[in-house]
Amino acid sequence: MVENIKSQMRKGILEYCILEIIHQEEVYATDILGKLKAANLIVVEGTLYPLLTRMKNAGMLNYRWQESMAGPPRKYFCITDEGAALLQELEKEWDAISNSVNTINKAALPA
Amino acid sequence: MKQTVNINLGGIVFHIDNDAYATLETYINKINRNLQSDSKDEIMQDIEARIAELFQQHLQYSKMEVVNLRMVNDIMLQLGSPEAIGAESEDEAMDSQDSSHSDDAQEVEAEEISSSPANEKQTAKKLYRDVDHQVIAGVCAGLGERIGLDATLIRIIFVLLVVLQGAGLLAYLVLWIIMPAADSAARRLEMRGIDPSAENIQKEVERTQEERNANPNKGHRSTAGNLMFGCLITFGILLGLPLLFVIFILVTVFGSVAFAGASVMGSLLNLPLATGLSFGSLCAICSVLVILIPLIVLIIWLVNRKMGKAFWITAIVLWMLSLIGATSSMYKTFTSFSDNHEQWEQIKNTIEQLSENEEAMDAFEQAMQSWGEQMNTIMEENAYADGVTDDAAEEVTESATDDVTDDANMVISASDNETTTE
Repeated sequence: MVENIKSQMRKGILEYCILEIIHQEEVYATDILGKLKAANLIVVEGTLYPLLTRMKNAGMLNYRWQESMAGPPRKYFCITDEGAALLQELEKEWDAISNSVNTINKAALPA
Repeated sequence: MKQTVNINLGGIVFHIDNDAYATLETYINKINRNLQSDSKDEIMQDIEARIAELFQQHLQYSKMEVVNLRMVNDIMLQLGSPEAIGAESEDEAMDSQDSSHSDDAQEVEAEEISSSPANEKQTAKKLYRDVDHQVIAGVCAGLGERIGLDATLIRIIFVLLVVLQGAGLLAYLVLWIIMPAADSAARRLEMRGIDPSAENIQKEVERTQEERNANPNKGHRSTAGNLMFGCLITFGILLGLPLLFVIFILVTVFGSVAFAGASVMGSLLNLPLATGLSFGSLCAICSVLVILIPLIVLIIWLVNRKMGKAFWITAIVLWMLSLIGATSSMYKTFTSFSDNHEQWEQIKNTIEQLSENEEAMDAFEQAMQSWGEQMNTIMEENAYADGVTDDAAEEVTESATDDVTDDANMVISASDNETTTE
């Protein structure tokens, strides 16, 4: 139950953060993994791939193949207009949510 | 010393230890099975590319040339369990299904539902005998599965039908014959309305294996079931023969009535008998079809739910046509009967006798035929038509005389007398 709530909370935020990362620069999956891990947002890597494909299918992302020095070509993701619009909405929503949580937390504080 | 194999992962060749290869293969297959997405192949490709990348890093770091089991285990930890990866893709299926609901509460609800049996998409259920849960032959269990009612309830209904009027017995036997047994994993899935894809079949096989291991007696008849099974088989044989006989009699009787009707109709319409006969039998066929078509459609629908538009249109059009045919033939017959009250009285008498014995039936036939003859003579409109119908009517009498008894002859002469006095 506790884990379920936690993962529910993280899920929405994860997509928001992935959009944010891709919005900043064109990246391939491993770059995204690095940033998410650094931010402690993802535990296991495997879950990112279905998520990216879903976001791509939903029209938020696009990708192109790019040659790599280290091995086979890599999929580089970029944000679509639709994705950018969604990102703006998510940013607003995030502000609203953190405001709400802060308000309640402050209300709970003594004095 | 260890044997190694070569694998191509994401376009790169790796040497990998045999044990490591086995583990990796199971892992990849498990992910593949857990993924619930139309873009499954794409996701698998991405994941394989990532595994390849990690292998490269590990090999570079350890300055080794062969991928070993430890590396594979590390990578599995890093990527996460196939279930976790599958769970992420499950949401995708859920999203596309519930994209219409923006309500948060509904989304949570949908997620809870979809989290239990992952990829068992519901398709139309098919009717099979559920031999895994049979008491006698699995008819009730199969029907219950198809309709969505508890099998016990259906069994109670059947037992009541048997006790009350015996129809349940016949229905059970007929259903037993027409319902195929769900004797393979694919059929069991179809029975429960689950898409029989390769993965679902594999799961189903595993599940039944477990179920059978857990209680090896399940799926076989109980002693009571065995007893009823034997009774039904015996009853089926005992019932089957008389049933065939009854059907034979019915067809014969119906055919004779239609034949007699045809000769009447032929003479009424002042047609040569050849045409009258085909018209009359058409009417008979129509009235049979009116009953038969819905029955056939019902049975086909129960057995296999997937039927095209063409099937329905054909069935409906055929049914309407036969309904029109039957109605018009009945209308014609009865209006012509009521034209002549005395004749009508006589026919009514004969019909009453008809219910008493079969001999009277033959008499009725004869009476109808001679009545038709008489009608024709009365009309006397067309000398040519008269000749033809009379000749034909003689033929009819000849063909039907075989079974004629003394009683019948008496009726004929009586009717002859009546009509001539007229």
